[in-house]
Formats: sequence, C-alpha cells, structure tokens
Amino acid sequence: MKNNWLIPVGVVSIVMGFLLSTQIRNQIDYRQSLPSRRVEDLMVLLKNAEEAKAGLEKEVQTLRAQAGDGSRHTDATDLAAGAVAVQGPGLEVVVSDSAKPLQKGEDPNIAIVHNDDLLRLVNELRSGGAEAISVNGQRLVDTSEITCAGSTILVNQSRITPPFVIKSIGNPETMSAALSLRGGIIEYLQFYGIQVSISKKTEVLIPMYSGGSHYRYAKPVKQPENPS
Amino acid sequence: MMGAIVTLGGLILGILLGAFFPLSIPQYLSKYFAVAILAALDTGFGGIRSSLEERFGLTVFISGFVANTLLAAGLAYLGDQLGIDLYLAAIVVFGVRIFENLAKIRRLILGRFWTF
Repeated sequence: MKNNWLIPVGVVSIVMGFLLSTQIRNQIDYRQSLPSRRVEDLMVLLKNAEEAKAGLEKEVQTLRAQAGDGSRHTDATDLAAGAVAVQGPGLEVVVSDSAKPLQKGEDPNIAIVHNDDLLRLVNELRSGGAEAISVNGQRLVDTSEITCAGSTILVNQSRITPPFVIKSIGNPETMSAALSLRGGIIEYLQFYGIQVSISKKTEVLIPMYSGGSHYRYAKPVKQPENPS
Repeated sequence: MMGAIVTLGGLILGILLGAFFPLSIPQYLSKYFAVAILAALDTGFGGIRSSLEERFGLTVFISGFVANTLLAAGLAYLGDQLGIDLYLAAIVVFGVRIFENLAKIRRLILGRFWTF
C-alpha cells in the first residue's frame, strides 16, 4: 500500500480537531456569557457584587478616616465635595407612590414616583437654600445623577426604591416654603395622588458621598485668575 | 500503524490549533457548526471502519468528509429557512451512523485480536 493517503488523512484529522475544539471552546464561552444565564444565577451575581461593593465602601470610609485630614483639605472643601457626613437643621421629605386604587383606563404611570419628580423636589430644595441633600442615603454631590433605570431610580449609580426619603440641611422654613408654593411641586405631586410628607427637623444627619473619585477628564487649570 | 499515528497526531494538532486560534462562531451559526462536526465525525469513523475492512478509498473518504460536512450544515440551514428543525434529522441520522460504525469497528478489532 502506498503512503500517498497519509497527507490527506492527516489534513482531514487536523481539520476535524480544529472544528471540534473551536466549537467546544465557543460553547463554553457562550455558557459563561450572560444571556444564557438564568435569572437566579444573575440574582446571585448581583447580590455578590452588591455585597462586594458594600465591603469596598466600608474600606473607603476606614481608609479615609486613617488618612486623616490632609493639608490640602479644608472643612469647606470636604463639605462641598460631600467627603464628610454633615448634620444640622433641615427637612425630611418622604415621597411614595400613590395608594389610591387605579380607575379603569387610568395610566398606572401617573401613580408612581418618577425620577423627574425627585429631580424637581431636589431642585426646589436647592432653590430654598439646601446645603446638603441625600436621597435614600445617597449624598448628592456635583456629579450625582437622578435617572430612570427601568422600574427603579438610580442615584449615584445605586438603585433606590420607594419610599424615597430626601433629607436636606438648610433653613427648614425657607425650604418647606419653597416646596409648598402654590402650584409648586408638592401640589403637583399630590394632584396625582403621590404621597408626600414634609417634616422639619432640628437635627438631620446626611451621610458622606460613598463613591470614589469621579474626575477622570476634568483637570484643574494652573492659572491664578479664572478665565471667564 | 502509520495511519493511526498520522490520524491521532493530526487530531491533537487540530485540537490545539482550535483551542488557541481565536476564531469565534456566532451563536446562531453554532447549530450548523455542530451538525457539520457530527457529519465529519461520522465520516471519520466510517474511514476507520473501512480501513479496518481494508477497503479504504481515499477519494471516497475525502469527498465524503467535505460533502457530508457541507451538506449537513446546508440542510440544517435550509430547514431553518423552511421553519422546520431539519438539523434534528441530521443529528439522528449521523448519530445512528456513528454508533453503527463504532459497533462495526469494535467487532472488527475484536475479530482481529481475539478469534473465538
């Protein structure tokens, strides 16, 4: 028997091995990718990630405490950056979805609190002179967002759910007046059945901003005077 | 003997190549790929069997390998276009044939080494 069949058979087996392992590798990759995971798996993953995040946030806090007050930081910059927890007189506003049963044909969307409702509340608080604000324990800093993410609301990239507790430090009278203006935000929300309660407090505690440094693109300009 | 070495060596080389060559198959093509592999496996076992029976034909083997692979994938694709799972038929046919070939190979090897 001549050996001229060796090369073709070798080539065929190389092709076969190649096909086999490529397909197997791809199947393994696919099984490990997200879409084929079941909801339960994803929930476990999410829970683990959230636990890891909570642990890391604790670490940030202890490390910040260890770092002490660096020379560059002053109380004023810490306050402005949300790097310290603050307390003082202020308001606690609790907002939750409408408890009224929906009438037939009514849009269920009007009965729930949306991100723009929270945004408007926060905006009114600021116009009423709020110095520090937190929503469900998330300190609002200069880069904080209040966005809609499916059925939940994102603040500082954390999901928050009703009831929404908005704490603010400032003059309680001014701030509650700003909210309760005729035709203002509270009236607007109550028109749709959203439950809003305002309580003036002599002592409100607002936690520090728990995220990391959030300046990657903006760099300070080394110039004595501000370009304007 | 040479044949076994070349075949095994080729398989191992191919598997290593496939493991490290970053070729990714989109998920929707993966089904056709799997059917093609099944056809290729069938042809491979058929080749082993025919060489044990000492009626191995190179042209039949190579043409069978190429044609079976392409036809299986093509039929699976056609089935998808028609809205029937024709690839299931390919899986059944090639699966049965692989088992038949394996049984034949086992008997041939047994017959070669142990004669009762």
